[in-house]
Amino acid sequence: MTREAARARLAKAYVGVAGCGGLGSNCAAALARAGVGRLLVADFDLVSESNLDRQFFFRDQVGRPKALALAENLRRIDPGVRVESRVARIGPAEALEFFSGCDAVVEAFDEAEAKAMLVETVLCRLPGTWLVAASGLAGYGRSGALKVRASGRFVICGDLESEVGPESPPFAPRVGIVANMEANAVLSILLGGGPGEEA
Amino acid sequence: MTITLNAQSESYPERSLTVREILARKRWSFPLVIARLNGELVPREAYAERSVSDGDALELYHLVSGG
Repeated sequence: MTREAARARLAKAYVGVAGCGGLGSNCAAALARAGVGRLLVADFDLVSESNLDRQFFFRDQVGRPKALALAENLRRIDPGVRVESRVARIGPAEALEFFSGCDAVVEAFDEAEAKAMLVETVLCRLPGTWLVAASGLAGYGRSGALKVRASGRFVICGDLESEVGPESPPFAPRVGIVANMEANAVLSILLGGGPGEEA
Repeated sequence: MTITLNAQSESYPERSLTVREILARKRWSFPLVIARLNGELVPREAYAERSVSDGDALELYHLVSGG
């Protein structure tokens, strides 16, 4: 497929990004650069100084809602991308309201409980929509342990074990790799009809 | 029964087990797991009832915090 053909197809796509932290902000940036035409980014939180070590925000955005700051940054990459923001905590009702009609939803939450909620909501209640999730990205090194597994309309990226905690913080490279694995899976879905990975 | 668990063949003496029993048998004590049975998501509240039998394909994915 030529670059033009790929961009023409991506321009018609609509992708939801649930969470605008290390995963969501970097994943959305990759999708905007690739030419995804319409993005909806959602997060309840504000940009803090400690986010700048790995999230796609800038120092002058500290204190602003992440969903709004991210939309601004995505429009700076490409003013042609249609970006909608939702500053809200996402439960099942919000997930259904925000993401119905999306070709794919990127799960980019921090808490495992929230990840499980979104996976269940999208896979059980939005039957036409793909769900691309992430699990296991703390620390550094071990790039080869980061994998993509796929089954039906469900894709999960990460090592499935490196949990973020006080003794195992997230760092920009590994978070960025997993965020880009999620974006890569979305592109495979949009351009190739599937995630291009086996379970 | 013989099932496929995460793309590997697994045999158990029982004719059927619930998702919860298989998690216990595999010593998966993780608090959060995504389970898919024959390509369909099994909601967490159904782990104790949903039974897995011969020929079924079960996939289990561990969800950890971080993002």
